[in-house]
Amino acid sequence: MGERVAIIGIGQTDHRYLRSDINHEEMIYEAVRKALEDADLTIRDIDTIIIDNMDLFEGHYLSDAMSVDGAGMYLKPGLKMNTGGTSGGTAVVTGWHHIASGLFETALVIGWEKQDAAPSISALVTAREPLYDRGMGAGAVGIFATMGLKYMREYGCREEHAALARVIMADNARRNPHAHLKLDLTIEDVLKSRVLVWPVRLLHMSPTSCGAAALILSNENKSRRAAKPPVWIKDIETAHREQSVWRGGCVEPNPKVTAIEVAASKLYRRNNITKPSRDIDVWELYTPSSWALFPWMELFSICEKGEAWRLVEKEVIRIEGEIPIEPSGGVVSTNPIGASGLIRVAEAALQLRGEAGERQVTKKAETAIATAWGACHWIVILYLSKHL
Amino acid sequence: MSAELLEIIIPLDLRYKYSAGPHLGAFLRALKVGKIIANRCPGCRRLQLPPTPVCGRCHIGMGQDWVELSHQGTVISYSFVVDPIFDPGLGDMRPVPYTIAAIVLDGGPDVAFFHKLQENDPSKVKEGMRVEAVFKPLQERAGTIEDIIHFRTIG
Amino acid sequence: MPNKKPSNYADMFHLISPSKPFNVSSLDPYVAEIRLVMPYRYFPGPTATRFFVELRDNQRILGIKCRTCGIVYVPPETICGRCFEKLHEWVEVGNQGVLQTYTTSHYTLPIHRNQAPRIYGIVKLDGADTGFLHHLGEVDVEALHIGMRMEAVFMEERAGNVLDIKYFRPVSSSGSPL
Repeated sequence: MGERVAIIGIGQTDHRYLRSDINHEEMIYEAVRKALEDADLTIRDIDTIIIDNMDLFEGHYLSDAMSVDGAGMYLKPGLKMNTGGTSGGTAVVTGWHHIASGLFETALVIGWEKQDAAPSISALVTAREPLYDRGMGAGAVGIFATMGLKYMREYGCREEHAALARVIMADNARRNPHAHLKLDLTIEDVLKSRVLVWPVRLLHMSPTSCGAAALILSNENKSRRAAKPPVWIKDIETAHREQSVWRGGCVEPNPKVTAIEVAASKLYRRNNITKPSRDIDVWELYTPSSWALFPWMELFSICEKGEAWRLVEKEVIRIEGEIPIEPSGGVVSTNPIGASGLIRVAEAALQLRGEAGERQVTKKAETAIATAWGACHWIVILYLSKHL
Repeated sequence: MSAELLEIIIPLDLRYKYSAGPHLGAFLRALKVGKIIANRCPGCRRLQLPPTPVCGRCHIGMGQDWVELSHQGTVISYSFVVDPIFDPGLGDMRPVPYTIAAIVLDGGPDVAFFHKLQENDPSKVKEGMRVEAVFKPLQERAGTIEDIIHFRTIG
Repeated sequence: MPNKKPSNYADMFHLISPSKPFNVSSLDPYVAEIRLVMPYRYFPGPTATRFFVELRDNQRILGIKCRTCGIVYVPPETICGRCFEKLHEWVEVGNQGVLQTYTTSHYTLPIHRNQAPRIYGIVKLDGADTGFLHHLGEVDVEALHIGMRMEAVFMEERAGNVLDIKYFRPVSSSGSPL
């Protein structure tokens, strides 16, 4: 399995809609400095840097080349990643690979996005095949609309349930100083918000945010001597699906298998996780829309098929609940896309350290799952633990 | 330090040449003559729509097994797009509302054709409804996906 | 009718339409034109803003100095890559400097402000440690040489970007423009 890897430094900016006061490099620098201070290290202690970003969202081709100084990459090895919504997760996995290989001891992983630069949904449209896909698609929103419609029809879930899921996320976000949207919502507020692609309403979708997050990973030797108790990345799993909605994903006429199920079952089997709702204490699931929460809770085997909306109705997913999901407020409150996957890992790690402040889950948090999801139904799953 | 903060507008207008390749090219040319075609994997026998050179599951060449699909099919899912977005291909806002649907065409189970529905009224669209492709007049077709205007309801 | 072979950049922008009617057995290629139009905006932040505002309002070029390693960057950076420190200390570098290198470009693309031939040069302004890449103007190419003293010439109308400097031109040995 290679070297063991832990998270020893965590940093993120306060995510906002508009950051006209700084450029992207300064924003990245902010997150990196916080992570270094958290780990009580300097940039000289970093062996390699992994940075991720969606170039087209800011209009910078080779966005890593435009961020060298701010990211601390000057004269250091490193890689740039861009894998859609999974990027933050993929970046952590890549950092993990670098250290697990034994070739590097300490890695800095950075994710960022400055979505005040352009309408991101328009940039997202270019992810689709140009000749038969691009003119139709409604960005990621359409995927969740179809998901929501299907789920409501099959299991009797109602719009109020997705609205409740959104309200819970808003309550969580208000306890998170870094969160972008800290709204005070009721179910009525959600149900009255503007329809984008039915049944998905504006408030069901994540915002476009500007923000950066950074993690410092190191091997077992360095992690045991780190300034703060290490959070171990015990295992990771990823799976992809076909490149176009035409060929697969959640709207396949007879979907036999999803990337989430494949990746999750492999990870659970390897780590002896037989009852995820019991064996995992905190879930930072990457959920870009409230409508995705129900089917995905089931695909991660948190509950049986058709049961997720009932669990949400009972509010067990709250910070005080038995199955806390996205105690940070989630992607639906904060979504600087290049950073979002990384923020899930950062937030899960803060929970396991007991440093999540007002959003710290009530139950004892020793294990966590952080995920990242991308618009072609790719999934990246990271299994974190306080103990090796 | 000045209190002013600059905002610089940098519009991008790029043109690309895109090679569709012979298989997708055949699909688009078939649309021009009013046909909807898929190809079938010699290994798993699954249809690919639009046609591809390689089967993603078996990872073998698709060969020459071409299948013509009916213009009629069944709606299995749909999205009503209400909120306008800036379309980078048009260089302008995309007109709304429009409805996109996944349609299983007769003769092509297990694959879906994604296109617009003529019907924009949510109360009149449901799963299982029967639709039929409406093509542009022959002289207006260009060998693109827009050679089909939309799918109209037939039952 | 055979597909046109692109002989220059302009040709690449034209649609190459399907040349033959549909025939399943003849799998010849199909090439389309895709267009990507995106309206971007960039917030350069307070450091870059100060630099551009000085160009626009005062026809003055500023540099920024790293307190740790002492390097003066022109144009200013926000972070010193070598030291990983934020930069705060502004310095005057004047509008004159030494030509480090130069070259002439002989082709023109739609993105270029001026037609070819265009002369580019890197000028190290007095007090700067880095070179400033810009256009050179009012030059006799034969007379250009490395080590020549150059000075910035500003546009009449300035907008707050690097092209507020029209070009750098040679300074006469007496210090006044040739």
